[in-house]
Amino acid sequence: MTNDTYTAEESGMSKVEMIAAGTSAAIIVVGAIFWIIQIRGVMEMLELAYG
Amino acid sequence: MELLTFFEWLESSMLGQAAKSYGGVYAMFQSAHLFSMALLGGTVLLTDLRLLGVLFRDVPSNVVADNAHKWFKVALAIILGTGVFMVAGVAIKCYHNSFFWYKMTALATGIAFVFAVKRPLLNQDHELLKPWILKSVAIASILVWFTVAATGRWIGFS
Repeated sequence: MTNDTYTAEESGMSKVEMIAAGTSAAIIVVGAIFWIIQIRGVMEMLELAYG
Repeated sequence: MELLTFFEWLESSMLGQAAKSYGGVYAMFQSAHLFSMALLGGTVLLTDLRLLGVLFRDVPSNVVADNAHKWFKVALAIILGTGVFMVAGVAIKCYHNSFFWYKMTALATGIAFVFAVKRPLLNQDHELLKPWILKSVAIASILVWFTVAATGRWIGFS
């Protein structure tokens, strides 16, 4: 039994579910940070332009 | 070969010259690109909103995901083909545009996510999978393809 299988069985998730959960979380976090930075940039530009 | 050299070669190639010189041909490729994006977006939304339990709740999500994926692949192939032609016409401009690279990063992430993570997961019986994982995958998928579309449009406005 590999460590991966052991961890997956302990958490009640299959390996493919764990990969999906981890990758999805990473995409959601990075995507949220990216869009927050873009929106803040636009807001700063609007403030500079219109006060 | 440096990346810029490749983009310079692409723009001066026959493909780049054709894209620059024939506005009608460029418009046709762009239309095909947009239609394919609509198809790809449709298959993504169909699958992901079904996984989130918003659409077609009376149809098994396995059926929706499997059928949508066939058209996703068709749309992606057309998008990639027409996209190369469109980039060829303005390759150097694209090279210096940060949103072009944001889009390419999001596109590569989206493709890798679909074929390496989402499909292997959705090939299994959805009844046996944890609902929160299916929902997380759906949200991540919508976010990554939204980013591809939005940054793609942003190229033209930056």
